[in-house]
Amino acid sequence: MGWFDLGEVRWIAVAVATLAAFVVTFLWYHPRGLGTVWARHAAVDLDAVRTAVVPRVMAVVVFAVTAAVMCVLQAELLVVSVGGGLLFGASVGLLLRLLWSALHGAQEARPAPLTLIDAVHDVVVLALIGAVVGAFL
Amino acid sequence: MEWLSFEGVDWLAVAIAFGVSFAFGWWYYSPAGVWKVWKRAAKVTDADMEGASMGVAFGGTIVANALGVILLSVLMVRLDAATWPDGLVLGAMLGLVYRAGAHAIHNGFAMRSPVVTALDGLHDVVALGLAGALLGLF
Repeated sequence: MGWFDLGEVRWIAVAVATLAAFVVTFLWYHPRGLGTVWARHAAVDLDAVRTAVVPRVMAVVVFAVTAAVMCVLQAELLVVSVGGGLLFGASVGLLLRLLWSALHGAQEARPAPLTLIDAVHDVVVLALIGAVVGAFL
Repeated sequence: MEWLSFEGVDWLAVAIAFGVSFAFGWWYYSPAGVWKVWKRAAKVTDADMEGASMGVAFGGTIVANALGVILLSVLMVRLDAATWPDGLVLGAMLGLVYRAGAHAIHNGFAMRSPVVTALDGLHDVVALGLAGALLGLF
């Protein structure tokens, strides 16, 4: 397990990346962003989402853990630039999230716009986290 | 993008890992696995399933699984994660962070049952962990 070294984690990068990912997510799903369209297709009351605390806490935890893992992986892979991190994050997002979101969406017959909004969000957020981590490594 | 190199990738191992991972998913979401529980928790009806594009779902499963295993293999080579425990941990970690994490966020905001998140997340962690362990064996 020589590749897994928590000493590679830059905690300031984790904090900045988590904040950046949360802000992008907030804007992405804001009613003035894609929130209204998303809520309609997800059959969710946007007011209920606005007051939900647990999903927000969960998002922060997931973003932070993702950023920490990205630190470890990018440091080992020598992805230590903003551009490199952007491409790394986008690649991982494309291969491990977008495709699988499309897959789960198709299997559950979920509306395509809903799948697209969620999946593209994931790619954008992972690219952003990768870029921030790359900047700090 | 220097990390994205296929040098050192064992394609036979990738094929086997893909096959086993795919077979696991097939069983997991079958009536012998968690299908009934998942369907009830996801509130998916038979009418919904009739509207689902099974061609896209089946083809997508193959493509998504294969590309995921190839990426895992590339990362294992570049990280020198060369044993089955290394592969198991790396695969499970990627499944947990990149896939189960996404389920937790999206299902949480969409007010879906936590059971769906748990079942889908567990599948993704086990499928990638299994693939990583097999890649490590080679």
